[in-house]
Amino acid sequence: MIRRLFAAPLEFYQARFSLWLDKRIKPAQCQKLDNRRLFIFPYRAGWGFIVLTFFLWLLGTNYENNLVLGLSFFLVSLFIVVIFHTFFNLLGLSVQYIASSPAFLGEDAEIELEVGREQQAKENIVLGFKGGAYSKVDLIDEATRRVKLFVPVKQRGWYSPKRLQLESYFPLGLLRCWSWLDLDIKLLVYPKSIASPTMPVVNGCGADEEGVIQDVEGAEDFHGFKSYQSGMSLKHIAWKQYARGQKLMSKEFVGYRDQSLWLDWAELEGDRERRLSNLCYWVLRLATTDQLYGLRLPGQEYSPSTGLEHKLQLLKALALFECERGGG
Amino acid sequence: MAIVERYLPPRNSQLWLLVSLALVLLPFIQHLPLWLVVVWAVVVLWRWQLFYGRWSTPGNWIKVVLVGLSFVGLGLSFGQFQGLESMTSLLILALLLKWLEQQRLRDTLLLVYLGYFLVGVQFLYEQSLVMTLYALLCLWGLSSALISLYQPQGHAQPKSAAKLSSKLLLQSIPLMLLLFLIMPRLGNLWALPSPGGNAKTGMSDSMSPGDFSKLSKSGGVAFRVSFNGRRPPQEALYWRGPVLSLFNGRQWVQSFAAQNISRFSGSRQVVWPSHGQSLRSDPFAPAWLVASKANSPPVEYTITLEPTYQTWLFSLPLVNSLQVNTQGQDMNLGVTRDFRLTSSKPINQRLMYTLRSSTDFYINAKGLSQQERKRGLQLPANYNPQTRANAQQWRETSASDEDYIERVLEHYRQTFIYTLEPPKLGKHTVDEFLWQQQQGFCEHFASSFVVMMRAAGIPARVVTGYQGGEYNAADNYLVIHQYDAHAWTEVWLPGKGWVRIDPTAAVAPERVQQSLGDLQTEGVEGLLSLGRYRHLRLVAQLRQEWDAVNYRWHQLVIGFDGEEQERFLWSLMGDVSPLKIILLLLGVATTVLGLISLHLWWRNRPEPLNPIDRYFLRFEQLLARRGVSREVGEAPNHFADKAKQTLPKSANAIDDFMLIFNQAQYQQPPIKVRKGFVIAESRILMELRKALKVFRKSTR
Repeated sequence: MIRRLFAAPLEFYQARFSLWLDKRIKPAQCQKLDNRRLFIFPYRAGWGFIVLTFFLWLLGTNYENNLVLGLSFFLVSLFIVVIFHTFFNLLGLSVQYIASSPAFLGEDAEIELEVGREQQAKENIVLGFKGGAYSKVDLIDEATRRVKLFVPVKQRGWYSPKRLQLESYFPLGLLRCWSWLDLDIKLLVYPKSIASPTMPVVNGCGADEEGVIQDVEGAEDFHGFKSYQSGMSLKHIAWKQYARGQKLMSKEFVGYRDQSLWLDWAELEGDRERRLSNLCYWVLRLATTDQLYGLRLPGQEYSPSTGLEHKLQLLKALALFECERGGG
Repeated sequence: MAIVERYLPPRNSQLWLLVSLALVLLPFIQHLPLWLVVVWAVVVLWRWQLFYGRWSTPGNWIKVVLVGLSFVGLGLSFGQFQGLESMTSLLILALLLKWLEQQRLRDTLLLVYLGYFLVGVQFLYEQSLVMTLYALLCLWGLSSALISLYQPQGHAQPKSAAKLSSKLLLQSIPLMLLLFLIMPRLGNLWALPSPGGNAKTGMSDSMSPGDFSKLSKSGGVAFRVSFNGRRPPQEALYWRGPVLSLFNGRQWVQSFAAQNISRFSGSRQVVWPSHGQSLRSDPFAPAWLVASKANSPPVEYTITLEPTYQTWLFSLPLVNSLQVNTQGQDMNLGVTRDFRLTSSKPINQRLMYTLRSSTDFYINAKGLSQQERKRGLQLPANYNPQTRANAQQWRETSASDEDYIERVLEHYRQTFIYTLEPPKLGKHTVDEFLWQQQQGFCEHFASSFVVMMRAAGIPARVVTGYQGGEYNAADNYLVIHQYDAHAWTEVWLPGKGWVRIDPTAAVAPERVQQSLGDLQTEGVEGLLSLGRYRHLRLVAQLRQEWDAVNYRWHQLVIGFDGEEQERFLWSLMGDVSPLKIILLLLGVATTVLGLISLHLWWRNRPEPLNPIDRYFLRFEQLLARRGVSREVGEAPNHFADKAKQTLPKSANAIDDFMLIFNQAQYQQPPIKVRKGFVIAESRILMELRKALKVFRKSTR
């Protein structure tokens, strides 16, 4: 109830804040934390510390005990000194975007970053994207370190994750120094893979056509013998024949490869995302075989082929299909 | 971000917690009931076993049983929850029980914060310099524990936390001193329980055989005195305390009126003068006060009294004026009818007061009231028959009271022995002492002398207090220890009033001329006390220096109250105004914090560039000005080719520069550095610089 009451103004201020933040910290793939980028404020433990200090001051004042008063002043000045230590711990830290891998909708995308420091060791750095897992980094002995972060992707196509949140509680946990960095990351998000009962292939181009025998390594069906030449796999030597006194032979295996398949948008039912998800499933499925496969989308056609590049091309096509928003 | 709350503190922090909490709790042992120490030991053992993974965390039923038992213990130890000791025990108990179940970061934080608070509580019990240094050690341990909480799990060196924590502590000190000096002292906001009940040693308001010899074995400080001007001779320093005039055969106590000052204040048993005002000039002064007469100019002195938890204070009679120096304590001092000082409340804190006294005086010279005379002659009926008989016979054969007194003193001088360990006495204490054993301490002499006087019809009473003191030449003040406790007597003689007679001095005059501590060192001081070895000159000097340091510590730090603060600020800036204080605060704080940030910034500076790279950077900047900028990660040679196309005029210069640059890349470090200074440059670096110069000229 209360949350609902405050939802509208909260949203308004969040929007204003994000505009202000966009102006203050501009997107860049490599950023060094400076005065503009860093924020600092007492954390929960710090408020507790302030309350403790106040109680000690009260104790000292009431008992007119100079040493208790001195202790409370000591804690105050410790708090103030720690502000500087916390701030300088993050100051000068550099964060660079290294790489990211595409992800399927609903899964977590992996983003690789590199954090680096100047001469002084940096401790207790927590970084992560909102909604994803956080990772703790210390740069004590080494000057740079690669970190892999995961961020849940919420939308197909090109997706920019929210700002990277980077913070530290060093050294006493009293203060939180943090920054929100826009590392200008674009992730490719494929549709979610969902199985459909039948393969969406166009009639007449299906499996009924005659197959072609191909000599493929790793295939399973036995086809015949071949005379052994050095360099051939020892696994395939026909030891039985050799034992009977025949010459050294190698067994030959083949795979049957059908003629190309066309995965077709028109063969599927349901809304756009559903169809894309099904197509995605079959692309992934066929990519594990040696089948040649192509893709037909409304207005686009990818001729049959095989291999990793082909698969990625098709997945990208599915990811970007009717997805105007380039940036997300 | 919730990550911090969820995670378990690193292993190192457990060790730090163990160490720092042990440091914090250790001084409390003397104030805690024994069973609480046992609980502490159990918790430490459990945590220790947990640390090595031998035991698991205590189950719920163990916790419930422990909490139940502890509260039963608290109830049995303290009854009702009043007083500082019970509060402290409760706080420590809470800490220990929390520690037992501590797992997550939040619990640990609570423990450390409680630790910080307990360091403050410890100061309510003791405020010595040693304790303060010890508290710094505690703070260091607690801060290290706090640091280690945020260090990486695998960070196996507890040393790094220790180092950082000492650094933080040192950096905090200047600002703390500033706050200490200028933050206003508000005075107590409400009444609080004070440590009490276990007042270690000190004078009581009664005297029975053995009391003083017990007291004389304590080397603790009773009070310190600094004289403003002339210091009276040692044998004149009789620090007057309770006056005892009622004797029940074994024990001497104060008269009923003196015991109940507050009830009798209406009948003017006590005078509460306003600060610094002369007592006898008050037109409303009661007759007994007006009747006293000072025969010598007064001496001025300031007494710093350690807490006695009693309402009597010590002074040299005859007090002319008095003034309390310790601010903030709502404390009134008064002079009673038997010419000692009294306070309106028990003295639970160190108290400073300044007095003016005349050491040569008459009191009650004009005569005693009926009641006073009766009180001065009181004796219990069935005690000490031999003494009474002898006293009457001796008085009859003496010409005057003075003769009789001299005869009694002569009796002491002949065969009596002054000893700290007198034999035990039976029912007739005075008879046995005077006519059989003849060995005793000051209380025996005073008691028997008064009985002898009273039995002969001379009004007499026992006065207790301290005698003499140890002069500290290093800082010009006098220390009065507990072993300086003394009992002497006063007899009333017509025309002279109450006259002080010290029978102990008749037997052992050196007792009055020197300190007892000098006479019987071994009996008085503990084995580890410096005072025991005072006959060694170096030790004696060290001991005096150390006492002087402590005295200064108390005067400068503990006694730094609102008035002292005002005086200090006035001497610093003349006219004190809020604006000036704020400016002072800002000025000092900015300087201190500026230095700290400068230090942090310097440690955080970028790694210095290799000189070759520095020249290349210069080259890059020159080209950037001409519109050729290097892409991120672009190879130097590729960049140079691009530059040549844009600036064909300088192509030769660029080629030359790049040639030398590429050569330099594959050579040994081009400079020799010793202690951060370049001491030699290789030839190639000079060539590189020359090439850069040529290039720069070519671009013009």
